[in-house]
Amino acid sequence: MKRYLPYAIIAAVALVAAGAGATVYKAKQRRLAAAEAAATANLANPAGAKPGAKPAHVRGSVKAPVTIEEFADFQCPPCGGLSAVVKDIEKKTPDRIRVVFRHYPLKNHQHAVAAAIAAEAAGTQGKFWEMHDMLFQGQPTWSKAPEVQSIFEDYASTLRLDVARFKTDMADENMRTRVTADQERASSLGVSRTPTLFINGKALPTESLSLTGLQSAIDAAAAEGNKQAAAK
Amino acid sequence: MSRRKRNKPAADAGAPSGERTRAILYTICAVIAAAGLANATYLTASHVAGETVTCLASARCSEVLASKYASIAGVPLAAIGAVGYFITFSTATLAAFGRETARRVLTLTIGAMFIGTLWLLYLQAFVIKAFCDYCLLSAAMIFALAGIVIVTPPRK
Repeated sequence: MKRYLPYAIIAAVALVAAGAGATVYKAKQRRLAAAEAAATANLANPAGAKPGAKPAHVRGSVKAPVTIEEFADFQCPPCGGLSAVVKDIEKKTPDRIRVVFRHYPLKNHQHAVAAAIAAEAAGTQGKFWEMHDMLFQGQPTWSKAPEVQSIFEDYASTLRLDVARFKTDMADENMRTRVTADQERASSLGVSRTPTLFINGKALPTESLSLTGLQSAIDAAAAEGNKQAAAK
Repeated sequence: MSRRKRNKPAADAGAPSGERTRAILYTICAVIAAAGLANATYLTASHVAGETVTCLASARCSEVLASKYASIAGVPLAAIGAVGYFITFSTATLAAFGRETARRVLTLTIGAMFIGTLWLLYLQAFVIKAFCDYCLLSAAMIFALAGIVIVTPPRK
């Protein structure tokens, strides 16, 4: 009997490892699905609305009561300004809002599509938001440059991305498809300018695109969410 | 494995003290390898599920786990590590029970994993310039395993 004991131990450990691996995998899949569901739960969803790129770029807590869906163009100066305002609010109330970013590159902005694709390419290496921030910060420089590819590659290098992979991904048609999917969602929701924000599915009036206006809209959305939760 | 090559199990009463020491050291090897297997299994499952792992101490460990070095020809490096740890666990267990061939395979496996670990540490320090907690934990385990194999007295 003792002859077989080591083999029994090895078989038991193999089974436990395989079982634990499968359990961790399933738990992580469930968590990702829940995060995706939560991220899209408060989005505008009128009849005929297109879903946009999947999975969407989302940051913030899964449990945040307020979802801000932002349609922006990296070459649009007010979008850069608004991005800083949103970040400021996120810093003050980190568990309150969740931001979903959608591309809406405007036709009159020469490098807007390339910038959106650069952000997507960085996203494949897990650094969409870092590239998002860098593109807005560097906007005054690259938006006036005749050629932006080398500038974006410098950004990728600064973010410690694999630059060769970044270049390949920028040429990948899937990146453009994601940008187009977001543009189609924008059109289906009637978006015609940038930045456009939807807070818990409701379009924010242009005059409210300021720190105080945005803060009030977030407060109102959170209060409405609380009221609905209490009514259930 | 040939039965003639098998020794009397070290746990048996009356086993020579050198054999008992070896059995204890190989048992420690098996325990460390089981811990390494758990670590590598967690990383493999996370990699396959597509979720970034929660790093414990290093803020930039996700850079390591998301880097191009995290997989070889599409196979997650953590999965290769899990296989290595499983072989280590199996051979250490068999070695603890006196299987001579298993001891040789264990030494070779740990040697290969030691070289792989040195390469990964070089990549983290000089190429990626970021460290991953889980990789450092694995490196510590490999160093411990290598140390045990080196100090284990040879059979006379």
